[in-house]
Amino acid sequence: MSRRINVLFLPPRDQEMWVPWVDDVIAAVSPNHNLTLLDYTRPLAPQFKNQEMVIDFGGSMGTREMVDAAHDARLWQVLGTGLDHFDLDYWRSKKMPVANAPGPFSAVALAECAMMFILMLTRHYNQAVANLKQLKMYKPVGQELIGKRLAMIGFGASAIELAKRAGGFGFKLSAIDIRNISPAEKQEYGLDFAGYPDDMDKVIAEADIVSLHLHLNQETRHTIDARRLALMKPSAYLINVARGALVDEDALVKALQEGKIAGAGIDVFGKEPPDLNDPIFALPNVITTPHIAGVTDGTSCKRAGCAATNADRLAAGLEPLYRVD
Amino acid sequence: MFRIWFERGLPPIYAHLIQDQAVAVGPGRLNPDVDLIAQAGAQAVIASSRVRYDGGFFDRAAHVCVVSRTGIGYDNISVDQATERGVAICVTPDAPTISTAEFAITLMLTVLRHVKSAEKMLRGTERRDFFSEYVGLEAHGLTLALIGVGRIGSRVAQVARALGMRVLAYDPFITPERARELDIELAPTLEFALGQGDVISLHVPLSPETRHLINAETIAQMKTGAYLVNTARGGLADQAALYRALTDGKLAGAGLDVFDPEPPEPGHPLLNLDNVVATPHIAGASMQSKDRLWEQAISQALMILRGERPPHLLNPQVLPRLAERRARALGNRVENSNVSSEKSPATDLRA
Repeated sequence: MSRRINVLFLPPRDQEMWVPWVDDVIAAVSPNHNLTLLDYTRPLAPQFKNQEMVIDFGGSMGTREMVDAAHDARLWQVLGTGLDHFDLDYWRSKKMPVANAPGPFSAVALAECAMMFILMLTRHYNQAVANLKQLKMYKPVGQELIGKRLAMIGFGASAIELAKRAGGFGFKLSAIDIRNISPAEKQEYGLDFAGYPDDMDKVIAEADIVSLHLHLNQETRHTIDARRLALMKPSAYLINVARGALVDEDALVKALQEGKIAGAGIDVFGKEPPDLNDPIFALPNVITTPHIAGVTDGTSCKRAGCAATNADRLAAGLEPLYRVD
Repeated sequence: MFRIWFERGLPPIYAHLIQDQAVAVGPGRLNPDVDLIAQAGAQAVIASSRVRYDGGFFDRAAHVCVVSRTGIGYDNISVDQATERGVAICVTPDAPTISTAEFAITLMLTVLRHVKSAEKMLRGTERRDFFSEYVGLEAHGLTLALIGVGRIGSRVAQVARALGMRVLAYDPFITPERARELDIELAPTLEFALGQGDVISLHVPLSPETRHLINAETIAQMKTGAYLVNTARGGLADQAALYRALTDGKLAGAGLDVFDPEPPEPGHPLLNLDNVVATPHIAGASMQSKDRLWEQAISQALMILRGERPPHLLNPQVLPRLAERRARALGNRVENSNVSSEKSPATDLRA
C-alpha cells in the first residue's frame, strides 16, 4: 500500500454547486489521501504548504497567486476538460505539471445532451410547451430522426458517444476531424463519411444536424461563421455543447432570424453567463441551457475518479496520467 | 376511376396518392352528411374520428366497401355492423410508431436533465453561478422499465439500448424470443418492473383493465426518485395520485404528453411543476408519421377496391360479404363512370 499524500481541493466558490462535485471528490480521494478544501477567505500560503497535489474545479478556481504559493505541489489536476480559460502558459513557466480530466470522463453526458437538443428541436419543444399552456392540442408537427444526416465536427470522445446513440435512432453519420479517422472506426461507429477539415463545407451542406465537438483554440474559434451557416440547409439545426466561441454568435442570430437555418441547441456561450438581452434568447427556435451538458452525476463521479487515480499514481511514484502542460 | 370520400378533405400534398386511380368525391368539411357521401357514390371513405360509422351509415352509403382510418383508434366505427354488411375496416397502426418512440425518449432525456429548471435558471432573474447547481442524470446505465412492448415499446427499447440503458419490460404478450431479439429483460410482474425502473415508460392501450394502471398503490411500488414517461394515454395514470407523488418527493419527475381529459383543464397543477415536462399530445405528430398515415390509409382503401387484402384489415372475416358488396358497388361505378369528370355533382360537393 502506497503512502497517503496531501491533496488540496479548490472547490467551486458557490456552495450551491458543491453537490455533487465536492462530495464526489471527497468520496474518491479521501479514503487513500489527506484531502483539504481551500478556504478562499484565509491566506493562501499556509494552506498550500505541504500540499503535494492540487485539484482545481473546472480549472477556473486557480490563480497565479495560488500556483506561486504551491511550492510543494507536483501536480495541478484540473477537474474538467477544456483549458481555453486556463492560463496554461503561466503554469508552464512555473514548471507546474498540469493534468485535465479528458473527454471520455464527460463524453456520455455531452452526447446525451446533444441528443436531447436534437430531439427537442426536431419536435419543436418550445412551441409544444407554449401550445399546451394555451390548451392547443396535437400540434406542432415535428420531424422523425430516422434517415436524417448528422454531421459531427470533431470526432473525439463525445462525438463517438453521440455517434453510438444517433446510430440507434437510424441517423446517417458524417464526421470531420484533424486526425485520421480509421476505416475500422468508420465501420465501428457506422460513419458513412469521415473527412478532414477541408471536407467540412461539404459535410455541413449535406447535414440535417450539425453538432460541434471541438476544443476551443485559435484554429477552431468561429469554426461556424456566417459563410458556413449559409452553407447549411434551411431545415438544418446546429448543436453546440462544446464552447460558445466555436460559433460566431452574431452570425448565428442573424442566420436564425433570417431562416437560413431552422434552429439551434445551445448550451455554451462566448461570454458566460451570457447577457440575457442577447437576441438569441428571444428566438423561438432556439433551446438554451446554462452550460450543463457535461454536468451529470456520471461526469462528476468519473472526474473525481480521474483525480483520485492521479493522486494514487503520485503516491506510488508514478507519472500522472492526462498531462497537458 | 374509384370514388373516395375524404372525411376531412384530401390535403393537396397527398393528391398524388390517388392520381390515375381514384377521384376525391368530397371532403366532409361541412357537417359530415351521410346522404352526401351516398349521393357522391363513394366506394371508400378515408375516415378521421369525427363521423360515426355504424350500420345506419353503411345501409345508406350503399356503395362504400371500405372505411380506412388515418389512425389507430376506431372508437367511431362499429366494426361488427360493418362486418355484417360487408364493409372492410382498415387502420394504420404502424404510422406513428417511430415518432412516438422518439418522443418518449425526448421526454425521458428532458426530465432526466431537469431541462425545465435549467432553462428557468438561465433565463430567470435571480441569477446564481452560471453552471447549474442542478445536476442532471445520465440515461446511460439507468434501468428503463417499459410497460408494454408492442410496436412503440419495441422501438423505444431499441433506442434505449443504444443509449446504454438496461431495458426491463413487462408485457404478458411478449415471447422470450422476441425479448432476446430486442436484447431486453422480461419482468415477471408489473410490480417487479415498477420496482426496478429508474425510468418507467408506458406503452399500453387504454382499456378498462389499464385505466389508472398508475395509481397510489402502484406508485408506492416504484423506486423513490423514479421518473415516469407517458406518451400513451392520459387515463393510464391517476393524475391526482401522480401529482402527489411528484410533489412529495416519491417521483423525481415526469414527462407527460397525454392527459385525462384532453385538453387538460386550464391551470392544471401538473403542468406547473418544475419537474414535469408537459406537451400537447404530439408524440405521434411528425411529418413522416403523417405521410405514413395517409399513404397507408389510401393504399389500403385502394387495395380493397382492387380486390386485394390490405395488411391492417381489422375484420378479415368480412371478406366473403365484402366480395358481394364490392361487386354491387363497382358495378355501379361502371354505370357512373362518366360522371367522375370535373363537372360531376360529386366534384361540386368540394366547393
